[in-house]
Amino acid sequence: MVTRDDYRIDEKPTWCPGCGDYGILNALTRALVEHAIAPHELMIVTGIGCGSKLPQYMRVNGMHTLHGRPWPAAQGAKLANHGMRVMIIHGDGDGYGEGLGHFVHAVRRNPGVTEIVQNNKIYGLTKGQFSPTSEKGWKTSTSPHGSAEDPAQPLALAITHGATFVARGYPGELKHLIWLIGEALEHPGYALVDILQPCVSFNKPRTYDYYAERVYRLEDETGYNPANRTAAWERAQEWGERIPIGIFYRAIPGPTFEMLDPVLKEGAPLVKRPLEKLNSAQVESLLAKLR
Amino acid sequence: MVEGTGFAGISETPVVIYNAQRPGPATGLPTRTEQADLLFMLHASQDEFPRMILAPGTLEEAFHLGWHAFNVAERYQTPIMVLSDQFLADAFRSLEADALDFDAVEIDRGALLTDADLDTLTERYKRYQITESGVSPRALPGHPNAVWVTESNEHDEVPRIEEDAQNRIEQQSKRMRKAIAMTEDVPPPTWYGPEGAALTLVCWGSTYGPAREAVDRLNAQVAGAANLLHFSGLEPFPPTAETELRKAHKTVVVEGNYTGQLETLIRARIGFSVDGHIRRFDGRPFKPEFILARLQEQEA
Ligand SMILES: Cc1ncc(C[n+]2csc(CCOP(=O)(O)OP(=O)(O)O)c2C)c(N)n1
Ligand code: SF4
Ligand SMILES: [Mg+2]
Repeated sequence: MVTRDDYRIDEKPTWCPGCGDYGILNALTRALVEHAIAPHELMIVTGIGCGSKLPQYMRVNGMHTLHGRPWPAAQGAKLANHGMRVMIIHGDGDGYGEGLGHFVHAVRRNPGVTEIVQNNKIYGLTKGQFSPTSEKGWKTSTSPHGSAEDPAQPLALAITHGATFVARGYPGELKHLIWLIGEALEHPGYALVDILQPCVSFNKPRTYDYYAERVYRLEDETGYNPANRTAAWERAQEWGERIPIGIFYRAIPGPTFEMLDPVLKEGAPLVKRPLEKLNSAQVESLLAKLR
Repeated sequence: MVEGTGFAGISETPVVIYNAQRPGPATGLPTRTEQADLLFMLHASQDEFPRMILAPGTLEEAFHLGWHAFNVAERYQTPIMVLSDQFLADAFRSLEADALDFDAVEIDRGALLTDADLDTLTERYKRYQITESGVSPRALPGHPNAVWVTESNEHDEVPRIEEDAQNRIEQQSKRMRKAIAMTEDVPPPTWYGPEGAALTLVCWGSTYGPAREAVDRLNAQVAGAANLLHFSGLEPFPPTAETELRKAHKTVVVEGNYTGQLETLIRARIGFSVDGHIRRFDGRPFKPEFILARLQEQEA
């Protein structure tokens, strides 16, 4: 049996008191325990940012990579060991800014990876510059006259590029978030959970109070059908007086990227296969191609 | 690419990076050849970590340094660069059926822990354990006894993110110590042609072929006129390089770049100044005629 103790580690997070990342860490750990996933069966690949330090604050396999680059490492990890659960966790600046190209291409490939985004709509770690999900007009240290950019639409982008599980959570709705992460973990293909993460130090407009007044659950919305892709795409862009959380879109995924790889179709994951020298027949067939 | 190289350096991830050089900068002459990335590959990334640069001169050498690169990457858990160029990468040559010695191929995974090793582990696994050689035994993720985070931040042995000054000194020194043993795995420079020749051409990578033919033609005119010292290992700088270079009477470096990158490296590493150079940076490969013509001009 997997327990919360399995994930516990004697390490105090460096996050500010009140940061939304605590709630996300809590929800994630609980979801993992509920779904009986043990720390050694899991690899959490992160980028660089406040939230990306998360694997340091639990007992788990992790890879704390580079800003904007967790996706290449996560896909590599999944290809090297498709028997392992791979999650990718990062901030909005990381995955929707510098890493946006990787994000779109990864979604197109449908790797069997669960993605969680700590979306605080700001660069937290570097102390408050506007990010790709900051809203137009926001004044920050790098946008003193107000950001001139429309925010990125990652959920709509994921739906457009073929994602079959697209959701948004909020740590103020902890039980709901635990459930969402669990559903994402059980999804047999690529799954995205974007999380509204209050940054109490640098995102003054988007506080717990702000979200508490506006978030509503799609699951409570009569007539909302998460199998309807067009409706999901539209709902994914709703933002303002009402902010949806929950599962926007869910469909049965096709085969994952790693399942389509001819080398991985049969036999053990790559890491479990011994590296051996070519035998003489293999050498012969290789040389024959050069003749 | 450059930041990823540094990530492999600090996280001690074995990786082989292959660069077939073409003239740049930027898109440059994208279908032509040059040898102007040597110092780039030597320094690519912020800060410092050990690396190896291998530059095969022939197709046969490319075959052997290819598998050697993977072995040293795992032995030292650090980036290994194979530096080729468009000329070598696109070169066709007939080889005898037994020219590539597949029997010589060895696979060395270095200090890689097996499941059996990990089964008996009683203490917490330390991915970046301080060792005398600088190499820490490496586990692959997935075993219940070895759960850890590969770190791009500076870290302690466990590894936790750690900014303590003493820890930084210990971890950085541990990584850099790997370079000591790496000098044993870097191929030494090799001679071609008669010993004690009046002129020694010095070159690296794919320039081997045309330089060798230039040497043959010079010796056909005057016996013992020329020989060749070829570098296929450039970093760590081969320990025998100085002795070999000092054997030469007159050294002329032949390389495909504007500033003389091998020449710079030789001077930086061993304080040896060569007597002359022939450089080419017009995107075309060296030819023996080109080398011989330049030698004649320089003598005139
Ligand atoms: C290539 C690169 N560019 C920039 C940085 C500096 N940097 C570190 S974290 C960060 C932004 C963090 O924002 P986000 O990804 O949203 O994470 P948060 O801190 O908000 O959780 C930046 C720009 C870096 N480390 N590497
Ligand atoms: S700066 Fe913001 S995101 Fe970072 S730890 Fe503090 S509250 Fe959290
Ligand atoms: Mg952020």
